[in-house]
Amino acid sequence: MIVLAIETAGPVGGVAIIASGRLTSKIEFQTQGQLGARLTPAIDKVMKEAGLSHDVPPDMITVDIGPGSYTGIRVGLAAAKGLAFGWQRPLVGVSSMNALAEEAPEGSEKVVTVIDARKGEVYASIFDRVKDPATNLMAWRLVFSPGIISPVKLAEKIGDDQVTLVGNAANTIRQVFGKNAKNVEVVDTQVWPDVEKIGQLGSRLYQRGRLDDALSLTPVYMRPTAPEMATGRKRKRSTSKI
Amino acid sequence: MTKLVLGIESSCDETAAAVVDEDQNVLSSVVATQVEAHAEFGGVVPDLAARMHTEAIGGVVTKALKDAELELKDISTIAVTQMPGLIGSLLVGVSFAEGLSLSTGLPLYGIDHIEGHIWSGFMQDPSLTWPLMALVVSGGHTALYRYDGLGQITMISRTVDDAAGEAFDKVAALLKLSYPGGPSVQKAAETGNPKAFKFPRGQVKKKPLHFSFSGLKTSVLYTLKGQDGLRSDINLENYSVPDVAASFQEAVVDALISKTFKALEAEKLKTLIVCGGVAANSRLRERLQERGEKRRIKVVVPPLKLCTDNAMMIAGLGAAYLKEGRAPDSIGLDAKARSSLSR
Repeated sequence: MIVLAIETAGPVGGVAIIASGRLTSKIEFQTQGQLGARLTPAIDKVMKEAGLSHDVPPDMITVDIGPGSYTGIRVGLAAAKGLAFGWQRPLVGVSSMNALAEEAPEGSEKVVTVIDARKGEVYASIFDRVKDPATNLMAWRLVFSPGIISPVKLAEKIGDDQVTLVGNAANTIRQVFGKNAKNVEVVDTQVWPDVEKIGQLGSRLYQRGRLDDALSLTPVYMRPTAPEMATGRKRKRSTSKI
Repeated sequence: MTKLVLGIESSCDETAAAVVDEDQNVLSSVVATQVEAHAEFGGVVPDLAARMHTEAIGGVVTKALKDAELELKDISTIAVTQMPGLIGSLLVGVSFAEGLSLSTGLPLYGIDHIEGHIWSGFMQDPSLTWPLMALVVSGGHTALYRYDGLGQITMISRTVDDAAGEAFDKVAALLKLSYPGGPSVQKAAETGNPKAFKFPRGQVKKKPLHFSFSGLKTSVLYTLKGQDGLRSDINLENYSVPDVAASFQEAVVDALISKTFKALEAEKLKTLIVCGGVAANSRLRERLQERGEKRRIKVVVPPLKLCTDNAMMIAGLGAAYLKEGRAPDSIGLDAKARSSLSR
């Protein structure tokens, strides 16, 4: 199976082609500023390197749908939708939290992925390690996703559990534990999902039967829009009127 | 067989797609509007707009093809709005269009929304010929352009502050009328006296053709609050809302008409296209026709569905480029908040 993977949720974006589980071609780029002008030429280039074209499509497309940079995710997802629509190939959205969990070292049994959500808060998900019955491989299973949470509350939730913290807010959480951090391991705090991980996760999800509706797939946002938060009103979902 | 262009537009708060052929026949046009979602917050919220475009884009393009009873393989070229607009919104349309171009091999044109608006005049009246003048007047733009041929546009003047449509929205809010302000102010003005209040006509020092609407908005505010601005609450019971609305609308229309016809004279042009959301205003249309007849200027105001944001004008302009033989753009279009035509 040939997979085209797109990652634009973090500061370093990437596109990659993964054929039968192995990386064939990969390009990374900065996502800050003019991402729109950088992403599609990179997709064009990895496709050519991997011998793909408009009439030799990949078998599926997978894309990071966040949480992460709002604009980055929208650019990646909109391009992925256009590709899926044109090729009529399946699209699978991958959670950046799930991809971050993949960065935990072997031997970790419980992972807390945690990214900076500003305003003194973090966005977090908690995973444990299970055997995937479909592939017989070990995989991270989402146990609990508190979403937006204060570092102190997250530390309370973790309690005395032995965990690996992954993400750019991992150190913030460790600091909350202070001297009691003996059960807490921190993976490089700058880590952000790697496009290769997005590709592998996406294809695994697809093999397990996951298939997103390419037309209606939406990003995972950390918070509602600012005016929605200010007024406490939430727009009805998909209120665009045709 | 005639070639077909798929147009995609997402520059502000409408997600739109349309199919237009080389002879400018419209085969389909779909517009998903977000106006209700933004109305709750009194104006377009950029983050919300970008979210809604991301949700809507696939369905809108699918429907445009379905309505035209076409499949992607029937399309010859994709045209997408590249500028100007809200950057987060533009990026959704541009990224989708480029993904589509890569996966279909179809060539792509990045379109300037302003030229698209002006082009809607040619779609309305195919007998039009260059050169001509265009007044683009909407919630985001108020400017005069000289149009000498495809892609050959020169800005003559523009607003130095608010766009005319923005002034309508702000005055509607002061008068507690609904958003968007264009239709609600027009409705209120129907029974009002346009001479009840003397509002300024927005002159710009040393730039007689430029527009200004912020002073007008402030003047309306002070009229409602008292000259010293000390009355903190606006008590609308003290004023006739229709009179304020009609007088404000007349001031906007006067400013637009006088500067536009001055510019026509200065540039020695005999044809005028008026486009953008505010061109839907019936008082403006009426006064334009009147003045046009008097000055022997041909005035073309496209119908409402072509005046407000739509993808017909984007696909139509793309089809004109295609017919002219213009080379397609390379992948990696840079979505831009500002028009290439702005000075």
